[in-house]
Amino acid sequence: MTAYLLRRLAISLGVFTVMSVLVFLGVEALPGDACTALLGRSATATKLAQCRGANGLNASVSHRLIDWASGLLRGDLGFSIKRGKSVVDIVLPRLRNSLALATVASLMAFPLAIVVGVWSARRKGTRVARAVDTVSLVLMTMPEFVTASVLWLLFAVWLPLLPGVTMVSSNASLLEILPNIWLPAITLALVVFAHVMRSMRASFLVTEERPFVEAARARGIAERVVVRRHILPAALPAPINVIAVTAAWLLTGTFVVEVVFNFPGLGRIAVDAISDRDTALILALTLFGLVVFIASSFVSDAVTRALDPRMRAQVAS
Amino acid sequence: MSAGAVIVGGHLLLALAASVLPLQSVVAQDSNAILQGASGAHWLGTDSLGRDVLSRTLHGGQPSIGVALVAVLLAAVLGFGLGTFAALVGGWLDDAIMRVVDVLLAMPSLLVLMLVASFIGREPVVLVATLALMYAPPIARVVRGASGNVLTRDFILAARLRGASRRAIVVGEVLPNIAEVFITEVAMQFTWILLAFSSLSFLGLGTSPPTAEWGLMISDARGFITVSPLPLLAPVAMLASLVLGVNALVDRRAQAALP
Amino acid sequence: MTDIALQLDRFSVGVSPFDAAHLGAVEPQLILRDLSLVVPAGTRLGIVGESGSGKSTLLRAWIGAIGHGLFVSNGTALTAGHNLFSLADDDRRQLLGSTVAMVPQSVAMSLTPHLSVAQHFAEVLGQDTDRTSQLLDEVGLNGAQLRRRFAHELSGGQQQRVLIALGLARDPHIVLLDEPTSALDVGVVHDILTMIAEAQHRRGFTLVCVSHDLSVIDRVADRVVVMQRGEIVEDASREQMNRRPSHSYTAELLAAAPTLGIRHVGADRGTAIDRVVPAPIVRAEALSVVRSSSRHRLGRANAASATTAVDTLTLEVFSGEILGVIGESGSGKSTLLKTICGLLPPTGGTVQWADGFDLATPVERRPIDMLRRIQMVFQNPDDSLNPAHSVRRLIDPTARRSWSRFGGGLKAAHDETLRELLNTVGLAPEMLERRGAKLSGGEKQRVAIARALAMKPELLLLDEVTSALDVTVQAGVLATLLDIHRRLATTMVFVSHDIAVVASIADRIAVLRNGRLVEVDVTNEMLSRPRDPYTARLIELARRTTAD
Repeated sequence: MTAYLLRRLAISLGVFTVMSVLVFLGVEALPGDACTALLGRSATATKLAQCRGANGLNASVSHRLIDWASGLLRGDLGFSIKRGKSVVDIVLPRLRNSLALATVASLMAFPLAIVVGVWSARRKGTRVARAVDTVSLVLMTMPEFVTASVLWLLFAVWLPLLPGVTMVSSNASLLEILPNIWLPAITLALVVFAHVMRSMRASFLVTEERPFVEAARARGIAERVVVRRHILPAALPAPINVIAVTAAWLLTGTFVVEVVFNFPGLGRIAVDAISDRDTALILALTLFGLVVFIASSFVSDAVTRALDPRMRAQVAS
Repeated sequence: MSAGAVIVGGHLLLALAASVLPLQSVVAQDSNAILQGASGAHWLGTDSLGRDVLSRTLHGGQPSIGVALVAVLLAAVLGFGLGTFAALVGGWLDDAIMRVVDVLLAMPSLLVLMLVASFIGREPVVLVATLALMYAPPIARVVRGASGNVLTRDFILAARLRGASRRAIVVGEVLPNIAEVFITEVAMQFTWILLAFSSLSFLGLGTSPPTAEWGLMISDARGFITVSPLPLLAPVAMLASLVLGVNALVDRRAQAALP
Repeated sequence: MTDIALQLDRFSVGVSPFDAAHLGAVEPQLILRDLSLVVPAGTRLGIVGESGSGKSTLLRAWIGAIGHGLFVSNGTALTAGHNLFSLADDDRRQLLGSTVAMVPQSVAMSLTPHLSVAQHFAEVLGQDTDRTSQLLDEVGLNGAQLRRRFAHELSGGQQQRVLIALGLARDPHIVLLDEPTSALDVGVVHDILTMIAEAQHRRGFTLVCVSHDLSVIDRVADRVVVMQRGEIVEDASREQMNRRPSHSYTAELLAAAPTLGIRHVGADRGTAIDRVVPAPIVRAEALSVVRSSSRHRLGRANAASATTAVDTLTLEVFSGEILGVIGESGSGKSTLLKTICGLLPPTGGTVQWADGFDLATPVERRPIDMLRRIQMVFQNPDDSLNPAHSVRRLIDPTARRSWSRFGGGLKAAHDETLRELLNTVGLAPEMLERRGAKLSGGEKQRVAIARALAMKPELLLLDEVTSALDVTVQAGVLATLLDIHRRLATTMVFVSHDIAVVASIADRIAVLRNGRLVEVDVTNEMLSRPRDPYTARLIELARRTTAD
């Protein structure tokens, strides 16, 4: 297993290196640069040349790639000309907020989704199970801004229990931000819950039909043990994969929810950065998304392998 | 006829009929009547600029449904071609194609859409093309999986023994056996495209004001829900019912396909 | 204590109304119909029946678990005096394993894949490792070696033995065996049945064994119950049934089971043999086929996973004969057929048609005339008939001909030709417009044969074409094949794992083992005087399982 993990880690690093170069070149290829974005309509040829000279944009692409990569190794993500700040200073507090938001949503959604998924699979066909199924389908397919708007209307406007729009700045202390986390976190948790729950439920039902489950039951093994030892280990890989994907989404795909609640996280700054074409910031945020994606598929593969003796055996040999 | 079919059919009809129904102007502003509740003159009230909510809601489906329909058709053609091609050629080319598909699948589609809309343009042609490219991979993946299963079956060998060409195998043997899965997947992707596009509009990067579009209307109405919730609730209800309708339809088809 | 181990009293099982409606059935269907049966303690009962006879459902009734969508519509089933359907779940579980044990069939992955053998035993025995070793020893396995293995590291026979040991673990009074030998090679079947009989003799439990195969029942039971469509049609001692079956269906079953040395089908076979001209239609010389067992990422071949399926094989197929090919799983017999018809490339040696055409040519590059000459029928018609097509579309070689390389090469088939074709394979002409998926197993296989014949082949390759069929259906298909052979004089290669089936149809037999030819000889010659000890053992095992 250790050998497998090391090999997999090496592959991940390789993928990251290649992909980050591609991302850099991709952002380079976008029409316009930081200076056209900064100057906007007031851009003239001389002003643009001045701006580019001042910010080192006249160097060749390969030169700037090396500059950027060596900066990356030193923990320097570049400078946002548009915002007049170093990218690290912009991203770090928002990363903290996004992590807090994702953590709260994960804690609310994942354990509950696994439990409810198994529960509803075991009560398949009952009215409650069907109701849970329908509700989760609705939650899964609604756009987040619809869910978010409805929750906001319910809990911030009609029943003013929770603050709706965040008014605190991005670098306020966590304690100040915490009250503002609830509504976005609940919105995200609902969406994520539905995905994981349905995957757990479907996987459980498919596994339960397999002959070894009938065989275990026929041996007189207690139902509790059948579920825990025979069904669950075989049924978990599918929802674990979904958890990995959705966890990555919680960190990188929450643009809409953050905009709805004006939450000072990475999603909202990404929307802003894209709207005003802040390429340095876009580059850093895309890179972060890449890291999260690679990490999540790494974790999910490792857990899936650990659960499957066939794969374990392959790894050992 | 299932409830899903009724809802989806109704939506399509309304979207088409909105242009011919005797509705009030979508863009005409009435500064004397902003954020009004339901009345005889404005059945669903007015929004923050005094525009008729009913008219805007009924017209609001046109951009998203239109874009999503065209995009999903393109994605379906692309996905089907890529999926069957990969399954048929097999070997390293199959692996390579599916790797590329995996990479595309891993890209957050909304992020890509925002980048394209911001840097390249938000013309429908650009957005439709991007959406088709972003949503073809999941279809290709499903088609590849399903036709891969079909291609391992002995009736494919029997067809080869009778001299069937590759095209005959794809069209005559594989297609009838994956049609159900394929249609279901395309319908699902239609809802995701619809949501992606209205999310884009919601974020201010899709349809430009003053065009009526549900995502954009919801975004505009958010600031005023304490005054009047109707401009928010009307498009929310439309979008929600369409998505649920397609899902109900797909669910029924998928269940009917089970042995 | 009661002397009755198992009992049925007017016991009926139906499909629950919801599922029945789902399946489109008009009236409530009964899987088991009004069964009454008494099994005294310590006796050995065999239940035999073809697919759909309800035999597995009956077995499961005695552990109180007949499965989703089924319900007891009438009567009672008693296990050691208990009605397991009316017991509370916990009470029922108390009886499972200790009073009554059910041994599921191994082909269906009945061992939990992520638990080791030892972990399976620990669940029913606690941490008693001595007892585990003892049990594995009793079923003929090396406990020390296998304890840590997982299901995927065991052979089919080993899995079946582990399942039997698990069943015996808590010394049950009653042991229920569900198809204990299906999909196992004949040698393994023999050993497992012997082991079961010995265990029963030693421990004295009540044994109930369900099988589709009368020869299996014959080995482990003293009393035989024959089931057909949910009913018991025969209940007799083994001797009585073999000598003088009271029900016509039993007689049919007995007659249909191919027995070595006796030709049940095609009494006028003599004429066909006379017609055999010893001119080879296919000649393979030192033929080798290496198959890689899995697909490789980005084309990197992995030498370790490649197996030599056919190994320097030299063999001739004579024009007009039926050549039987037998071998156990992995002997290379299917690979040989697929190589001849161009679906697999040979990796060594030569294989040629009578006129010298190189059969190493893949099917896609064969000229149309050559393609037509060699056709193949596959093992499982469910897999070899496209479920989306009608019978007409399946058998008509010119259907949608614009898509086929045939182009105008064949004249459009007339309805008359197609009907005649159906008639040849023993199907009613009205079937032409039916959906292939709606036919029975035997009818499907006949359609598959008709599809091959539609090309007017000179060589028909038959790959285990009867092994997915029930025994009475198998007899019918074999008779049809002989009839076709007599009328059309098509050369056939008939591949099977079952020497009795092969002997009943073939003029000559080739024995394959691990991809190599063991021997090839005229059928009667081989049966009476096998030259190789491996062939002798195969024949002896077949004799022992069929006729005591």
